Amino acid sequence: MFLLTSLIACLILALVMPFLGRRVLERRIVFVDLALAQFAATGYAIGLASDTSGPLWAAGITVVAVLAFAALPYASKLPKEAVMGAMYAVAAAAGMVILTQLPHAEGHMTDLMFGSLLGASYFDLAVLAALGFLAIIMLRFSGNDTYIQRVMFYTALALAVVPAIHAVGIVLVFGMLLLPALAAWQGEKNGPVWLALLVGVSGAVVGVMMAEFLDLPPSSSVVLALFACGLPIFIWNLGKRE
Amino acid sequence: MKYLQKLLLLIITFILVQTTAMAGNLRIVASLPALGQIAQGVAGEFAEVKVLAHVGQDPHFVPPKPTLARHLAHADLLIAAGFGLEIGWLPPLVDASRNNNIRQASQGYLDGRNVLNKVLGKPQGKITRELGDIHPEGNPHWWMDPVNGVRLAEVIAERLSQLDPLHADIYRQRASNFAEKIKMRIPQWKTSIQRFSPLVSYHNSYLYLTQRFELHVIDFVEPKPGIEPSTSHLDALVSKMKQNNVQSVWLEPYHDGSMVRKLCELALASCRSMPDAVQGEGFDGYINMFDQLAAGGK
Repeated sequence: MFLLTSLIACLILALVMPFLGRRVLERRIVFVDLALAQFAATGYAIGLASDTSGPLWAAGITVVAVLAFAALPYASKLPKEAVMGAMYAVAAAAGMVILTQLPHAEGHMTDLMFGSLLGASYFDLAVLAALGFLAIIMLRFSGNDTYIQRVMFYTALALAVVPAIHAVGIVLVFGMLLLPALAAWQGEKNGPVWLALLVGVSGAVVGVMMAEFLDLPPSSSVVLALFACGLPIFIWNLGKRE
Repeated sequence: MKYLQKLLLLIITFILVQTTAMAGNLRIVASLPALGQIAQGVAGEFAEVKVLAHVGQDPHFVPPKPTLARHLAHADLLIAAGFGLEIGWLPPLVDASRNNNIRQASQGYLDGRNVLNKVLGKPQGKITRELGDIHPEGNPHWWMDPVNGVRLAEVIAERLSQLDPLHADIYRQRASNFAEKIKMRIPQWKTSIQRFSPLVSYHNSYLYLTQRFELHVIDFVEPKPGIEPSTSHLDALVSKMKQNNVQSVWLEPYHDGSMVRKLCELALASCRSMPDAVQGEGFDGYINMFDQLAAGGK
């Protein structure tokens, strides 16, 4: 059932992404997720072009990227967002060039890079849930001080975000990552986790139901619902600050 | 040094000879592979045929590259599907090529309008964006009917006869042979392809084919052209497919994806990648496409 799998997929994301999103907001880095996903996609393209294992290349390149990002110290003068944005552009361009060598892979590639919520199977959902759970556990051990702690953080992000983008598409993943955490943001720091999760879950349910009854594309509908559910909370938090 | 000079002279002569030899050839550019194959079949060794889109690419959205404009710059004849299919990418390329011979309504341009007697799929009533990304002039995927392919060959033969009267008889003969071949094979294709009916397709690319072979199309995966389906549309589609005992879902190669595969699983229909062009040279390439379609695609 398309409705059921879409709902479950959004709920899984709603229960996993806000944890990561809050940390991402703390560190003021958003582009890293997009950059990691693009590295993975380019790795897949290399695999396709060289007729070797796509997932293996994707995993390998993502690991290298994670280790490289973790090597940037937290308080470095180098603007991290800029570095990640630039790396995203380079990886995207490399992927595009590799793609032009493969006559038939273009459509396949868009499906890989920006999956569709409607295409998620129960197996995909199980994998998403498992990796998401693993990512949350890794978050416990992550931090800013030591290299290992930073590796833990970026690995947690990669584990949760990259397969999610592949399964349900980039817009929905970014919406789930950032909107609930932003809604729960209080003053200078993150608000309580339960508030972010509440926004995520209500957005998921309202969005999917809205799509079903109004005959709308579900991913977009959920993102808009997240915004609608998050906005009142955000405004309430603004008032609370004083 | 003397040896090198001789070699250089030889190379230059060689290149010049090639150029003069090629200068006699016509240069044909086709927007889509199937059209190019038919053009190659008619023109044979008397023309150089270049194709802008490649096999497996969505003909609505071909990414523009400088080489495509360069091919157009030297073209004597441009063959396109028309009816708005290439409207998103071909006109800018033609402008960039600055080749006035291949503009619409000139001797160096031909498209579906020059070929078809009857245009299928013309939308009725008032046309607005609410209907999605429809083609207001009619369904443009006309080469999917082999009879239209024959008609295209005849039109190309006539046009080439004007551009190159020396070989007029040869062009017409080739078109005529092609017509015979197709006429012979249509009954076989028709019988073979029946087993995939009733069917659902992603986009309405197969209208001319399903009309010719009398296949029954129940519905489309995209609720409106260019719009992603909703969960209610897909769930309703699954029930509809089961109710009508749909045998297969036809996918254009550029629309294959996890969502459609899932749809096929749930509705107990076979997912078939039905190409709108396949690799191949000349008439054989075009005929091969129907052989593959009749065998059930991939």
